[in-house]
Amino acid sequence: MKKVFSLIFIGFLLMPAAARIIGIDFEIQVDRRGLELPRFSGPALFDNEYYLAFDQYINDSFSLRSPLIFAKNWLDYNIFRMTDTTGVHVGTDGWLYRRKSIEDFRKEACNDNRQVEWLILELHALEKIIEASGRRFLFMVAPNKTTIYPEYVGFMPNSASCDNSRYELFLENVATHKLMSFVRLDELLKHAKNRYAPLYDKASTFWNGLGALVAAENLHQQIDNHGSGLRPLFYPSFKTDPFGDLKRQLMGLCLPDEDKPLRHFKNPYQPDLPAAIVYGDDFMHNLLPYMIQMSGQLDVVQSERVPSKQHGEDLRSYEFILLEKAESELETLRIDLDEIYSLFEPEATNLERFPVNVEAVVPVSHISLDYRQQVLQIKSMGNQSVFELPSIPASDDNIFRVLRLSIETPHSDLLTIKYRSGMPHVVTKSLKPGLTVIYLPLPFQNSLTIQIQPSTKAGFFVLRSIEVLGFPDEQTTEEPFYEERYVDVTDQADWIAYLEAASGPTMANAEGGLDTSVDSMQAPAVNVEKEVAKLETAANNSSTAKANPSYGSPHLPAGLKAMFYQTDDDDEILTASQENTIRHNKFAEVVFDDEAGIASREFSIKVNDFEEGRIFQRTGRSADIVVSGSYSGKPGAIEARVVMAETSEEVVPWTVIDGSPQNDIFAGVLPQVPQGGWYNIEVRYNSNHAIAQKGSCKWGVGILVACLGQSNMREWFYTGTMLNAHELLRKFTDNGWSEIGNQGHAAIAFGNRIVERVGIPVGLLDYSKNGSGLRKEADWGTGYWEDTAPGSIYSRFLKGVRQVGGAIEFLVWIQGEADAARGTVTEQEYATSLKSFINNQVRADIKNGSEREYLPFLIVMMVKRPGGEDEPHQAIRNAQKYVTESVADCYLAATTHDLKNKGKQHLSPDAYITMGHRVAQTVLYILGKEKYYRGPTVSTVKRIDNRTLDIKIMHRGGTDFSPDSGISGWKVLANGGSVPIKEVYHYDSHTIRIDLAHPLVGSAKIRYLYGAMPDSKSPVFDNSPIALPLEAYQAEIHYQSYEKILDPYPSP
Amino acid sequence: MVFSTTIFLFAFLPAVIVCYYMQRLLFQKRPGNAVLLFFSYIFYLYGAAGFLLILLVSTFADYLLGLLIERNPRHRRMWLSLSVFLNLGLLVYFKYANFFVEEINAVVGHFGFSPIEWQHVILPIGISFFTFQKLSYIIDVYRRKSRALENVFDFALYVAMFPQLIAGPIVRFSFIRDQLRGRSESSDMFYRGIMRFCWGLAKKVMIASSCGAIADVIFVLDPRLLDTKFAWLGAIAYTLQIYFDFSAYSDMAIGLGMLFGFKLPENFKRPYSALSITEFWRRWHISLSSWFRDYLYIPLGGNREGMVKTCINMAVVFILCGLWHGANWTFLLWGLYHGLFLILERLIGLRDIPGEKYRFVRRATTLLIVIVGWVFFRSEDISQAIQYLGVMFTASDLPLSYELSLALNYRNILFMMTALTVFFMPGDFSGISYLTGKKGPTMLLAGALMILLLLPYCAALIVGGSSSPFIYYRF
Repeated sequence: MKKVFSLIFIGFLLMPAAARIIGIDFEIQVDRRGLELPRFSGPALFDNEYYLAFDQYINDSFSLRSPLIFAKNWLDYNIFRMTDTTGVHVGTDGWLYRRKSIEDFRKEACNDNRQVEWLILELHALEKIIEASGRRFLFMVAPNKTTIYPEYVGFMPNSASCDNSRYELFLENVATHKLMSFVRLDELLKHAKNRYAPLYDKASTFWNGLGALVAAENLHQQIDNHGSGLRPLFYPSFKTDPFGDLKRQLMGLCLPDEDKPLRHFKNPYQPDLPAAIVYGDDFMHNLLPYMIQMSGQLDVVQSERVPSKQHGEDLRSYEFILLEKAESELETLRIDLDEIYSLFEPEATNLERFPVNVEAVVPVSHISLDYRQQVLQIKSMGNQSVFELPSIPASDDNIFRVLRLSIETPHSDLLTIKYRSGMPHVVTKSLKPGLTVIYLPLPFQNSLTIQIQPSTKAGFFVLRSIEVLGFPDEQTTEEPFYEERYVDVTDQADWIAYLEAASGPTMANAEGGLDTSVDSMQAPAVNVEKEVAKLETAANNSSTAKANPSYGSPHLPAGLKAMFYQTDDDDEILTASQENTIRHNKFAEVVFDDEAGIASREFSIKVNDFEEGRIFQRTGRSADIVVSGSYSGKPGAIEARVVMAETSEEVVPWTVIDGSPQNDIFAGVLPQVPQGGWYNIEVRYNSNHAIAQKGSCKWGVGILVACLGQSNMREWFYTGTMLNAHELLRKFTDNGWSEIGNQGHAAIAFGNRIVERVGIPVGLLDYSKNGSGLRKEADWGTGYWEDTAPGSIYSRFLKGVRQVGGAIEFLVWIQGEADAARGTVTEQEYATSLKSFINNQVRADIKNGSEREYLPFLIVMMVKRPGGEDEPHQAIRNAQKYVTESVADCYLAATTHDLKNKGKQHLSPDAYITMGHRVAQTVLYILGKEKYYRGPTVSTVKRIDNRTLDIKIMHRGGTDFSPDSGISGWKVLANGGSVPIKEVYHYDSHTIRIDLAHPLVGSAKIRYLYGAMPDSKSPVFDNSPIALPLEAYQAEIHYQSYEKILDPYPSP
Repeated sequence: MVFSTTIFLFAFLPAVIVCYYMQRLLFQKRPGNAVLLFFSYIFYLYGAAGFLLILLVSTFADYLLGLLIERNPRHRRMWLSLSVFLNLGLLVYFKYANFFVEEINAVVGHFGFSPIEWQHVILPIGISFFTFQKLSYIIDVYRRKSRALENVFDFALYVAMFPQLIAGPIVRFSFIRDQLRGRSESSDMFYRGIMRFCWGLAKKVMIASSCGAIADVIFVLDPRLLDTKFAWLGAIAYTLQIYFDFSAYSDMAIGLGMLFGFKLPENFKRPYSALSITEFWRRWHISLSSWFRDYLYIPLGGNREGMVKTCINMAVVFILCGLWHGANWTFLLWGLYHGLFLILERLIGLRDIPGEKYRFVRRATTLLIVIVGWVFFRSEDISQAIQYLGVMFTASDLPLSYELSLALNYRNILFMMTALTVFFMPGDFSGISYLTGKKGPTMLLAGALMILLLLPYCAALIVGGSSSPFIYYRF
């Protein structure tokens, strides 16, 4: 007997291996990460990372995984009524809830009141402008399951907090100032839940078909009340996933893909109904069949932002806009009022405009305001500078008001608006060079004080206009839709009866378990999934409403330029008119510290010196520099000049920068400071040249390069101490400008090469983050680059760019490992995200300092990674390559497969030098200093005979290649295995010959330097001065021709 | 590699069993030491790839030094000193250098001096265990209690045998010497090995992990949400977790040894049934406490040089015993805490009370002292320990926090309740001995159920990621 048990034990241990060998495939498909066996190599043997990857692979792929996990989760759920799945809460009677909704259920949102108030204000503003433009707008909150079915949540500890959920705060606020467009659903659903079958499935986060029907009927009535001529809703059948999203999560089953493109539908029955767009979430899934019936054409966007950034929808094409948000996701709603108002304001009728005199703006601290030529010129000293708007009427129950500010500036910065009274709130807005129009909803209160900090650093602004836009309420007797207005869905009693019959027992005695509640709801109508798909296909074939985003860099208007860049003549005119304008000038009281001692001296001047080593981004061959400072006495005008720091040789002669300095502050632009450095700045009274000051810090005008990515970019600045940085090379971090010294081979090799060739300062913005992903799924705890939220790594980078002036000339990107890790991100996803990151984030947020049409984006291919998996790595590389080929001014700055590794996925110090030189070569190519930047590439693979292949290569910078023999890195795959290679050697200057050990039959794949850790002991280099490597290659060749024209990276 | 992982259960273990017995089939007269050694190094490589060389070199060095001690009587003291220096040197460097540098930097920082630049040292897994094993070998050879091993592979297997390499038990050379060459495997032993391994696996994966889930939440809970009852719950949960975690490892190690014919020493003997702290240390981590007794306490003089010296010796031993667990003030304090109670028991004669007298009170008091001691052991630093103990011994009553309510699910409560039975079991009761020791169909059926039900459930918990690493893995 003991032997039998021993054999059972051994048998159990061997079962996974046996199942794998036999090829038993369990039907249950538990969510896997799809990991691949890490590649084995000598160095990997002593690398913990390799074993970690191996461990993860075994866990992910061993054959008993699915049944074991399923069984364990089943036991946890059915026996212990619990789960280890973090996103799911197990309630009583097997009811499942989304864990996030439990936060709402526990009513701990008191600290969110300000956020909620602001959200409501934005919704009011959104409602008013959309309706003023002649369109319809509705907003609805899809209630959490915990809100409709709290009785099944189970035991929940008392909250020590304030006993209010975010949604309750929302309702409280909405009750005070009625939001006509708000369709309240929670009361209706609660009312309906006791009358019909369950409105939410036990195992799903979202309402089911019946719940959606209740919501849809109310929406339908709301729309039809306005005389839209809607037909009664047609009730389709629903095919519900028996598991539901929560049970899928709980059981560890695969979840459906979350690719959410803009979807188009057409209403075949009433195509003449208005076109509509819906911004929503997964609650929309069951609502869609009804929504399609309420519009002629329906576009659906799943996005947290309105309008979405990535779908390119044109809101003006729709007559009806619906915004749906899940209760638990209210906090994530982002409404871009500036964009929406800029779209709809020109079409708005019944809009009252109240201009506010900009003269009435008063300074608060450290700011100079100068009213002239009908506009207010603002000289800001940076963070401390604040001005206050005149008292403006706020919103009330009869009229909703929005403040409209037009601000012009030559540089980018961050503007901060503080609502000082009533509802204290802080809003930040990005200012871009040129004119920015800002819309601020005004809260419901008697009076309002708004203070504005125009910038984070010294700069110029012109406040062109202040307007209050008023939206008077139309006198209507209509009550808001969220008040008690229960729709009797029994109008369609037959269908309801059918539902009740089909779904078995009602709530009171629903003991059937998870899988039975809605599974059988198969009404004898059309299948909605199919109908939706059909309608979607039809709509996709028709024209769609899409905006064409353009990414041109903004240019400073000539008028603004003339105002900022005063000539001597201007100065004379201004001086002559000073007496007339002086009464309009207002100044903040400036308090200086003792060290400056300005206030106590009668005549003195002090320049706000630039940070030591600061580099201004050039525009063309020069830069316009904002100079500011303080003085005491009566200077008349302030002049500035630039001298060489070493020799004091004059670079820019004395130039009037501020013709009318006021109240101890001066600021102005010193135009056309030529590229070069290091410089010092000098300022003086133009009426008394003896009163002058020379800055002590060195600064220059040159090239700024942003360095982004993850650890291999980080290593640019840390690995290697054998080089010395050129005197004109600097780096910029959150801590400011600093010398690079001798640390960081790649950064020094890169920077030095550019400095030596161009002869001007080069500044590297070090904003990489170890382990950072591009996409959200690849956020392993250190952030991801698509995240634009405050405090994100991308926001931090933008802050840095603003600190250096808002413009850069190049961006170098070394990233991808985090997205490749564990096969987290697919090739398609990475490519889409990287394109969006380049076009919609980087190029939209940062001024292009280069002479190219778009900011040059330089991508360095991912380096080798011992222990990494081939497919995910290659997928990211393919995506990177695809992006360099499909996005304008995007460059494959360096390939890295040939570079020597040190450690897991980093390079040796010498390899970083090579990498730095290669990227510098790309920069020099873009600057027109070099004729090539990429190495040779494969053009054709030709079969000579069944044992010989010729690889034809196309040179770029070189004419021949090395080595002559023993070339490594090539692989020929056929019939599911690798074809042994006898020899790879130099045949002629354009041909590599591969001699195969076995004859090649059938189709084959040819690969060169492919995968996570290709064999690059002896790769191909051209004979160009920097010996560039042959680029990686992958293609399939077929027996018919055995010839393949280059297409190494098919487009995703 | 850790026992409670998929790779160990479903790849390594079947592979080593199959290879070992294949070798036995093919070469019946040779024990499968080569197979075990090969797999032991793979086992170590998998968990500490970068440190295999250290294990190999230090093993070879001690092998040579052992031979030198035996064959070179005139310099045997020198070779012993060299071995002790090398072994303790490595241990101190890897285990304590970071701690020392941090403490020194904290002190010099107060005086405005710049800190020592230091690259953080990573601790090689199992170094505390295999270092003590090698020291016991060298000292036994020096004391002429054992002969030095001639065969380097046998010695290497003694040091690196995978069942006890990472977390013990610390096997004395004298205990296992004969088994290295002359052991015999049997189906009965194999069966008992399986049962012991499964027993350990279930203790670890089900019970220790559940208790750990509760303890982990409570020990990181915001102090403002912690009240007396939850503080006690946390301390008890950790008391159970550490026992079930560590004893489970020992069970699995002993069970694995039995699969290959080895009989490894017992490491635990119902420690929470002890009637005094002195007895507790005879029942808890027996291989370590007896190592300290034989190789430190007795050489220091033991109890032969008067009460004062005895007390000093005991304090030294327990401070070092605390530090053996890790470079942290909390471990030192924990060792000192136990040392003080041992001294107290000796001074007031508590250890001499006859076994049955005041049994309940003594057992409860001992358990209370031990539970409080574990608070030092579990806390991140001394201030947390003091704060936590303050909550334990100050009456307060707060509502249950949401985080804790999640940990207090039916599964964790059921397994913790099961674990609580150890507080009440007789001191000489052994569950696994009860299951495997008696003949008869009932026990066999229980064994079968254990294999057929518990093993797949444990495997599912492991694959599902519900199990945490062994606590003693990091020592």
